[in-house]
Amino acid sequence: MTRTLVWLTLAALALPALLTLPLALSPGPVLAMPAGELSLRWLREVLSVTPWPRSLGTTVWVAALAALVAMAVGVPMAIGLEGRAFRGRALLSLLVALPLAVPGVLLGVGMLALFQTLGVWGSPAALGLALAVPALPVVVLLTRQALREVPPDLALAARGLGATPTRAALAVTLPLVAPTIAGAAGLAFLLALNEAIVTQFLARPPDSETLAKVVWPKLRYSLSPAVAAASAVLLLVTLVGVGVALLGRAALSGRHPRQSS
Amino acid sequence: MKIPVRTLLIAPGVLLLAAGVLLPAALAVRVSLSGRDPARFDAVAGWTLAHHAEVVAEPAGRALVARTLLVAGLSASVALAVALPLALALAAWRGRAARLGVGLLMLPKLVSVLVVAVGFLWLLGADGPVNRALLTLGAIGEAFPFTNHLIGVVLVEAYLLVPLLTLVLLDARRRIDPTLVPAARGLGASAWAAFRGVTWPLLWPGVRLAWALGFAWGCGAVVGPTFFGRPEDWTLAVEAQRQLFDRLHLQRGAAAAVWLLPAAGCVALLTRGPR
Repeated sequence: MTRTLVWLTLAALALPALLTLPLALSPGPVLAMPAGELSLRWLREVLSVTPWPRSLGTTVWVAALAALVAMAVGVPMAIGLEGRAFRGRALLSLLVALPLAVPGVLLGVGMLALFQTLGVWGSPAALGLALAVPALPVVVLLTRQALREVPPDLALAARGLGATPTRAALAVTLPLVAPTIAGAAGLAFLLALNEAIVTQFLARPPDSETLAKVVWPKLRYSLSPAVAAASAVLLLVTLVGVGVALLGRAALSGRHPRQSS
Repeated sequence: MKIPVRTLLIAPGVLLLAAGVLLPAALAVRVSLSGRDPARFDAVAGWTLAHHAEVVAEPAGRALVARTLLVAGLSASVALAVALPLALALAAWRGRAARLGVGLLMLPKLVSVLVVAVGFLWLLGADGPVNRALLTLGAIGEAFPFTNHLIGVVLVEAYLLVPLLTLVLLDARRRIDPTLVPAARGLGASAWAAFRGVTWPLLWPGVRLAWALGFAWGCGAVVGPTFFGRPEDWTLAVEAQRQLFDRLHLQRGAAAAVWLLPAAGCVALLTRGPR
């Protein structure tokens, strides 16, 4: 495959998502590419007419909670799984990957039954907790990979110079893995922000109605440029999230050499 | 009693996974085996195999299973056909170009599937560029209903699989000792002979794994069949959603969802055996 063909293939992969941006600027009532005139009509509607703004706010808050939970649980789990081998580690590694293998529909049906039993169906906090589950493997896998890439000699050298295990971990290992952890946090947020399958089962108007829950039936029954505008807003939030995650990662990567010197 | 630090670090994660994956999966199985109380759609009472019998014994249920396997198999194969050359090419890239390439590759997985669906609905629509191009080329006489056809379903599902399959293949390619191909070329092998005799046999386990993962993920296909398929293109995952939301029949929906497990479990069988 020539370099040009690879770039073309990659551009084709990015195209369907990016198309929502011009489609959102269509002035007419049908989903079509704007011919000449551009309009903010549908973006204005999505940002001001119920239920769009509330669902956008719910989406961001639920995703932030999911990312927070996935990080709070996933980073310690990754640290626990690394280091000296222990019995059951392979099984636990398999368990971590399970949310990636189990179909979203099955998780959705099961979680719905669980949430019904617990009486929390429709709670945004419960939805946030549920969306932390598919984000957890990404956090654990990325953090474990970062921990493996830290030369073991560095922590040993710190210990040899009199540092306690905690001090060595905080002063040597943590700064080295911090950029990856920041990237993992951003990725967990984006995965939760854009999750659409499990959300269909667990989100419930009005309290936990996310953007995906509003868009799904409209996409199925009444395709209008408002759906493209909502998708464009979601895409823009995602791209901003990617930018923030990359900047955070770069800032932490750049800070480390000064700290260690 | 002193609890080891490692246990304290791992326990919250295990709890979340048990409560968020194992328990819901077990509950889905239990609900699928439960009788139905017409007064409450979510009531779990008694035991019955009736909902599973509808999936495996009735022609409509068997057709759903067959279609799920067909969509998964076709989507995984189309995705593999794109992902394999892409991964082989990207494996040779280094530095900023490689990072940008992988970033672009992952874009479809970072944005919502609904955002992707909106783009595809326009691209594959009757007035979309794909139909216009095919009409201009004379390949079709009238607009093809991609947004209401198995081809549209497979295209969208394959598109959603390409990034993950490419990453699996990229990893498999990078694990191959980089000195082997130059050694074969140094011994007089042509580029094709070196690929066929050295790279391909070493890459083959990765290719099998990528296809099997694509097949497993394809079994859970919802977006493609829902937005781009006719009722005869719907899969088990769509049926689970439809039973739950359109018919308020949680038990039948759960039965359809539970049948995704053995379908996805085919991965274990497909990736076993001599490599």
